[in-house]
Amino acid sequence: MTGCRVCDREKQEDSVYCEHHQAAYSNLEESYLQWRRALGLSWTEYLEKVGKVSGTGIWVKEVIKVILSGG
Amino acid sequence: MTLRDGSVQYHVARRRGDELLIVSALGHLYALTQLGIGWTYPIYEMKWVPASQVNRASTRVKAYIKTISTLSRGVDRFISACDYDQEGSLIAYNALKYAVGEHSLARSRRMLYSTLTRTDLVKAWETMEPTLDYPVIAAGKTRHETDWLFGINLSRALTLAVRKASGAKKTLSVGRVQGPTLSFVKEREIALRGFVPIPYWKVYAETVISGEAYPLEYEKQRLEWEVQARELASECRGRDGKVVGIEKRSERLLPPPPFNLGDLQREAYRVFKLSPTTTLGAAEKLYLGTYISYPRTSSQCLPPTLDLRGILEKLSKHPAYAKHAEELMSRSKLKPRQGKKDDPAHPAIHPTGAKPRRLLENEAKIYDLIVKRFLLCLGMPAIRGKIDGEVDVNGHSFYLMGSKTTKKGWLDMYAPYVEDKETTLPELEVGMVIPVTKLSIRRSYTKPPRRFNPSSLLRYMENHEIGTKATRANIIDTLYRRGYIAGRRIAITDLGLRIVETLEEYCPSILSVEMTRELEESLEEIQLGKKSLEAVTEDVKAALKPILSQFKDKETEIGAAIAGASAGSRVEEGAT
Repeated sequence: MTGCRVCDREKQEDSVYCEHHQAAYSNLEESYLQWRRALGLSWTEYLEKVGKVSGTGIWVKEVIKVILSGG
Repeated sequence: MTLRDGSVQYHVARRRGDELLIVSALGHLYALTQLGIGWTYPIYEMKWVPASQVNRASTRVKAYIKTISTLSRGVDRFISACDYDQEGSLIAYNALKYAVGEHSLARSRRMLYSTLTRTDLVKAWETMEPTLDYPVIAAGKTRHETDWLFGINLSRALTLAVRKASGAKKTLSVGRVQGPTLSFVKEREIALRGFVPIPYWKVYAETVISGEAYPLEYEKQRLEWEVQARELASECRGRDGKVVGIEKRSERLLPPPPFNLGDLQREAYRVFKLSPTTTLGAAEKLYLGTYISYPRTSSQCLPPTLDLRGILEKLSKHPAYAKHAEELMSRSKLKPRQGKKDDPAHPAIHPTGAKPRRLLENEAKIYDLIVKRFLLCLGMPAIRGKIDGEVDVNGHSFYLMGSKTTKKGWLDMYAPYVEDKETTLPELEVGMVIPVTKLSIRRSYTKPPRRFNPSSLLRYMENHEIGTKATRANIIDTLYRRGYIAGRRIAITDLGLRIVETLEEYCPSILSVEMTRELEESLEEIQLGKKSLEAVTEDVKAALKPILSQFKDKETEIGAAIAGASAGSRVEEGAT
């Protein structure tokens, strides 16, 4: 196994992320439905918005940064 | 008469023809150390030695041991008068066994008391137990020995693993209470770092009645979609509302029960932001000064035998408490509010009535809290009248909500530590038309779980029955000292996170709440005489063996996993 796309931890099987960043990514995916219903945003618009909200967790912000930079 | 033996003070008294020699013990005079040499693990054999041999900071211990040993010559019986709990009983037992000699144990008795007032001490003297409280001593001894076994072995295993992997000389530690506590902080941290806020909308509206503005609460706390919020705003903005219903009710607010240690620590944190350790330290000083009862108690109950009127009588001599103490004394019957938790050894914390002299700032704060809580638990309930007016605005329900305390009761006794929030409403009538003068919608986001602070972590430990009332605050301090957690709003450091993750992988049992709870139950059974010290200690050794052997086998991997973080402990943002 090689490293997580975000940090130096080992990535999980069937994922490009480690356990923590994979959990953060799953939370992001799960919450998208509620954001889309609430504001009608596209996936990219959603990521940009969530990344700027103060309560967003640091691991979620790190995942967003990697996705938006095309990683 | 007070005398000195070198640096140690002791007292000589007479009672009914007997000469009494009274000497204090300065906490634990004896501590556990390994049998044999070498800084390695596993270690299963231990012995009790003077604490100065284990901890170089315990410099005064030698002098106390010498004094106890010297004074014991020619003494025909011994009385353990240490605090009535596992620690106190063990302190006296070890002092007798090792400083005086094993022969003293058969000639020893036990005094039991919860305050250091003259009345209680004389009563404890006259009704003392015929022997030492051996089951309590055994439970205390088992707690020390099993904690030592976990602590010494796992701490050495962690430290040596990191040393082997990186050469770093940092000392790491973990214990059977530290582990689950750190795990609680880690779980909270994971939830915070992985949190995704969800948007929602709130409606803020206002009306003006007789020139005064009042908030109008919309029937739904949250709206999930922006479009819903906008529709609502356009339908209600600039409209009049009509009062369609009025509901009046009254609420009885019972006084809270008297403090146990956990409640006192939480309240002192809420009111003064004092850490649990500082509060315990101040409470212990107050106890030693005879101003309050024994603070290390779980009880929220005052026993029926407690002389409530006697205490009130004394408190009525303090200008700060005279008014409420006299008011309570004028009642024909005093019935304290009792809590659910009880402690067979000690009552809830209460003042003795003795007037304190020269208290330090924190001691004075804690004393004031304890006295006021004692007074108010004897006080009358407060009565609060509530009124809700339902207002229809173009088919949408809003509410005008008011409350007024009609009888202050105990709230009056707890000033300035309780805030009595009131919202007075004007007279409302069904059919009354009121204008919606302001209406706005605001977007908010769901909030991540709150970080623990020392007080909320202590409560969490208490709720999960982790540690004891006497040790919880110390455990939290140790986690700070080791660099596993940081900040008043507690964040786990990278080192703390790596330690938990490593333990989760190689010895999850040390993080398990169940394991430490089972051990607490075993200690309880020892205290009740249902289990033996030896059986419990052997169980712990058996549980440790496979864990330590796995640690040895994987030392390099474990060390490498932790070493990266221990080099520089990063703290997650948001921690202060």
